[in-house]
Amino acid sequence: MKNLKKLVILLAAVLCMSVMASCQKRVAVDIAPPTTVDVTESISIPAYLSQPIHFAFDKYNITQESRQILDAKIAFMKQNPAFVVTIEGHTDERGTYEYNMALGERRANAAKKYMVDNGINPSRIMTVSYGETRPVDPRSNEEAWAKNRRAEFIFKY
Amino acid sequence: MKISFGRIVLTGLLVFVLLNVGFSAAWAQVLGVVDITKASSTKVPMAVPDFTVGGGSAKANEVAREFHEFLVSCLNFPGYFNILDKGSYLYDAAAGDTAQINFQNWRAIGAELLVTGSITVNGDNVQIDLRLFDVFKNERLVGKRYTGYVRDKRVLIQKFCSEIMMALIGNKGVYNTQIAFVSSGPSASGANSKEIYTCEFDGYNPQRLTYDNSMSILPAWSADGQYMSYTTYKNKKTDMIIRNMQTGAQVLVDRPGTTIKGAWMPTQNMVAASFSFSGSQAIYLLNPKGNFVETLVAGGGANLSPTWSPDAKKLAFVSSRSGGPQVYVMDIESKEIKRLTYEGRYNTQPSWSPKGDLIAYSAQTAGYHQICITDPEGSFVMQLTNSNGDNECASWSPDGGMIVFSSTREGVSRLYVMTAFGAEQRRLMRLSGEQLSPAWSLHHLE
Repeated sequence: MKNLKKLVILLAAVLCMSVMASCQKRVAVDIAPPTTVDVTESISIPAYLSQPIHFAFDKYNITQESRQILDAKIAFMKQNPAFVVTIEGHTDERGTYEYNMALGERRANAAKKYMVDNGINPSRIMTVSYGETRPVDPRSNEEAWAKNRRAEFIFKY
Repeated sequence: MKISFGRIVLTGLLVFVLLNVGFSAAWAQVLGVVDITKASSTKVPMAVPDFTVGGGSAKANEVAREFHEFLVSCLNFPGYFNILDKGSYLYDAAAGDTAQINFQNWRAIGAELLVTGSITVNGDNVQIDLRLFDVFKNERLVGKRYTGYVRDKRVLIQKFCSEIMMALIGNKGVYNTQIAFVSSGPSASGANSKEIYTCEFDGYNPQRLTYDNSMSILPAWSADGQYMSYTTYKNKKTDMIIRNMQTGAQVLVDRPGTTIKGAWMPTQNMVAASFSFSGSQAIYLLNPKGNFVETLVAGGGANLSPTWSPDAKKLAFVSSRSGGPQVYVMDIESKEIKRLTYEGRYNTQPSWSPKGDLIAYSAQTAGYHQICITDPEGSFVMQLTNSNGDNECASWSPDGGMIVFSSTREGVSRLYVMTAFGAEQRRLMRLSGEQLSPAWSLHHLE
């Protein structure tokens, strides 16, 4: 009986401590600011999602090869509805500045249209044109120009 | 220089006119329309002897030398005058007015115009008398006295140069104007940043205007200089900013899609600029508050890069309506649109001369962009640049006599100037980094 009493007191003490501990824990969690950086880092963005699509000179039509690349992004967005994407349109250096801004925009919009036509809500897709200002390859030759005529995809959670 | 048939006729006609009419005030008035800004091969010979110096101190002599040197550099800049070599002058003291000057001495060395100066320096203060003479008519065309601080050299000399241009061609020329441009180098806000700068007409004193720590590009002045519009990426997309240059107040025009370059009406403070919120680039008219007043050009593909005729009755712009980019001209009242450029597949960046008679644009030829000019009817094409590198973004000086443009002829993009007919191409300034998108102000600072 004495032992039982001791046990009850001990259990009560443990229970009390654990409640206090959980209370403290809960209070601590509430006070801590939301750590959004940790959340996004904890969800990995597959590398293939950042694969760009490419275009011919002064063109903005989506090629057969680009469709396959876009289809993979569309499949991911359908499986991960919390993700949004910014499509950046880029050009090579050969056009002039202002027209290249318009061309970069048409490239980003063409990619967006393909994704929307294939079931992605347009509110999940932002577009921006950088024209000729951000080449991935700064050289002035056909190989570099072909790399620079592109749309890039920046996914965010 | 590549030329087409129409241009030979035009240039030939001008040279004929200039050769057959000697220089005089009457000449300047009669030919004010076909003025010396077009006389690329027939510069007017001008003598600018050293100033006479009152006081005679070493400091006064040095100030006089600096003022004279800057005057000669200002007069040389637009390419209208051939400043005769000082060694040829028969007479060097030039303080007096018409009665004291032996014009025969100046005619003998081939001068048609004579500029004299006398300067008195008193501490930090300076008084300078400057005169312009027509050597053939024995006549003073301009006589001005300026007083100010020694440090006001650039302001005082440019004021007098504006007076010279008023007397000869009826406008103030390039003096006391500004050029806005985009520079990527000196700003400390990262490799991808671009900021807007302004400098004086001759590239002097570049000053950073924007601190958006982003890409601020494509500046455009209002005709009176009160406003500047530009495109910024500071919100991770393109927005238009309309900045009051006096107060620094800014209006952000935030619409979905891309906004490109604005062009202010020469006749009032309204700006034409392209936006794509309707789905494709279309050109709209906005007031300085950023309110959309009117749709100017929409449909048929992308429409962008507007530029106004001086009377604001016509608008030239770039459109992809026929496939590749070409320049078109729209009549504002009738909305009738005519294609202006037919040579080549890629013609962009039209810039209408403030005199109204010419439109400069960038034409892609053999891989590079070159600055060309045509008239508003497209009846001739004249290629002004021919360098290994892209020559882009022509912008006219307010008198229509010069063009500032960007070029990669020496590697990275830098700013250059030339006459309206492509003569005397030279680099405008030394500044680290890359410079592009020059815009010459139409207004003159006081």
